[in-house]
Amino acid sequence: MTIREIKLAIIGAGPAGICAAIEAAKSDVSVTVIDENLKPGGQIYRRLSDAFAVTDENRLGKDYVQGTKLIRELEHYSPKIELIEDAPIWGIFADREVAFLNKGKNEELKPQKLIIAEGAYDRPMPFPGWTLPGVLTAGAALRMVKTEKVLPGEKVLLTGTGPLQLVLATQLIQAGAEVVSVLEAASPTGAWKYLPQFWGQWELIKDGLHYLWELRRGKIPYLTSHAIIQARGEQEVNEAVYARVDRDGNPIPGTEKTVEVDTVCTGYGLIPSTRLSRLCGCEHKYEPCLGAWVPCHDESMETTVPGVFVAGDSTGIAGALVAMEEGRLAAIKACQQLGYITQEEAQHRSLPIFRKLRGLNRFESALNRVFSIRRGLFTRITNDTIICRCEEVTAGEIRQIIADGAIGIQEIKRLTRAGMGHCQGRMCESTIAQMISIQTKQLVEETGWSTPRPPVKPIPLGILAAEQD
Amino acid sequence: MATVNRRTRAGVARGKCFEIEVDGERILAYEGETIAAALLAAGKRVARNTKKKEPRGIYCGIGVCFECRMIVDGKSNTRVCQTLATPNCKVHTQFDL
Repeated sequence: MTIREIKLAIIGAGPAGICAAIEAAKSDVSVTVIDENLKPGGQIYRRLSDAFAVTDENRLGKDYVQGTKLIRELEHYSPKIELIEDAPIWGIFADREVAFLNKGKNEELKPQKLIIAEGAYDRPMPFPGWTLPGVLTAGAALRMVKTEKVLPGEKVLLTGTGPLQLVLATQLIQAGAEVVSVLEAASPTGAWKYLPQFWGQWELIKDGLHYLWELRRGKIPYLTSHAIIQARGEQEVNEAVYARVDRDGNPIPGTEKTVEVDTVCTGYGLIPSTRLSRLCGCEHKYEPCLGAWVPCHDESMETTVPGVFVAGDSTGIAGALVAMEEGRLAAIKACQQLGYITQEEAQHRSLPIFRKLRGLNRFESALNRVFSIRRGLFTRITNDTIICRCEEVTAGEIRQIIADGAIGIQEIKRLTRAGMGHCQGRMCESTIAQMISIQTKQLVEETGWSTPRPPVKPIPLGILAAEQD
Repeated sequence: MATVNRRTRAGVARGKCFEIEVDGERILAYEGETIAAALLAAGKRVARNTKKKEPRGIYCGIGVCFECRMIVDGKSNTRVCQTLATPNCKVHTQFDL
């Protein structure tokens, strides 16, 4: 197989990746964008299928309309932009060599510059019964309601933290589901402390108030300082128990309530996807507020590995507006390094972006603080709760190994197989880190992380075997 | 045929309608729908059974968790949230060994 050498590759066709591609095209650089999904847009701007005719775009929401605009711009620059869809990346090797599946075949690219915008996913937060069918993430439910136009269930309990829950509740109600309650783990007073940092972001504040108003109108209880403590059912969820939680997230005994539901949506914020930036060997740092590792980068989004850039939610959760600006910055710098634009031009184009980002980042960091994950929520985890969904490793097994002296993620992985399954640790790593930290009193960052090794996405063995012929 | 239909119509008109087969049962699907969506629309939640015989369904919905692995047209470990339904495709609950 030949390795195609190119100038610039971008991983991910969400807001960050798309804007990076457009910016590169504007600088006359040909670029290849690789994305795992069937269509560009990422999660936030996920498209409806072409087979669906849009009868009223405004009913699809503001994000959808914005996404349409962005993707039109991407198409406008299509002579310069090669878009490879439905292509999971399974490895990145020395010198930015990117290996991925394209229509069932292995393909490799070797770009001079690489921008990684791998996005984020819903934080997995275990509690008894969280593996039951019918318990799904807020992101999954949003996707179903927004772009598949299917209700995940009829009687829904929302539990988690942060504004995405409000968005989901509104969408579910409008689509005809019964939302039993929205449980918000944070306390209502938390938000006021950070009020000055929200100052000036009127558009975003207006959105939040609008969603709260929609809940009021639908008479949906929005319970702050509450969280689910158990989901029950045989083949699928049919009952949920929730309780009041204290400021640290610990459920308060005696406050439990049981409700009949057929669906539970959990939205505990997002965690950055960093498997690919880790594979590249980029330095990462632990962000306690996010409860996750993020790649270190300079103000032009270049990582500690020269020629490798990051952008968007995979660098820290800040939403589409920030992601787009970061994508632009990364591309401008990459194009400058490639010699397509001068340093003066790069600076001229970057300055207004820096200014814009300052305001937006302040808002997002305040949000992340208010809705950060409280430690007490991990006390919901009983010993028989599954932590590693793939290998079915329970909390009890992990706690025993920690009690026996394990102090790091890698050890637990080796001893229990937690993190070795299909998802490659994406569903259990953050929880195990917290569990070790709680039990051994280490800082979470001291528990380490699991080093990803290719393939980071499962690939049929036959495909690699065919390579050898 | 399953009577549950959890599809909504807000702002869209669906394309061609066809049937798919889930564990021998015929259910409806529309062009452009993922198998996951067709299953949820029919009220079907269980995608696979784990080694410990526990049911699992759609969880992350974006291809990260690999919980919704089913056998699609004979191909096991297919994530139904990332796979479009096609006319008469055969979907089976996966029993992990």
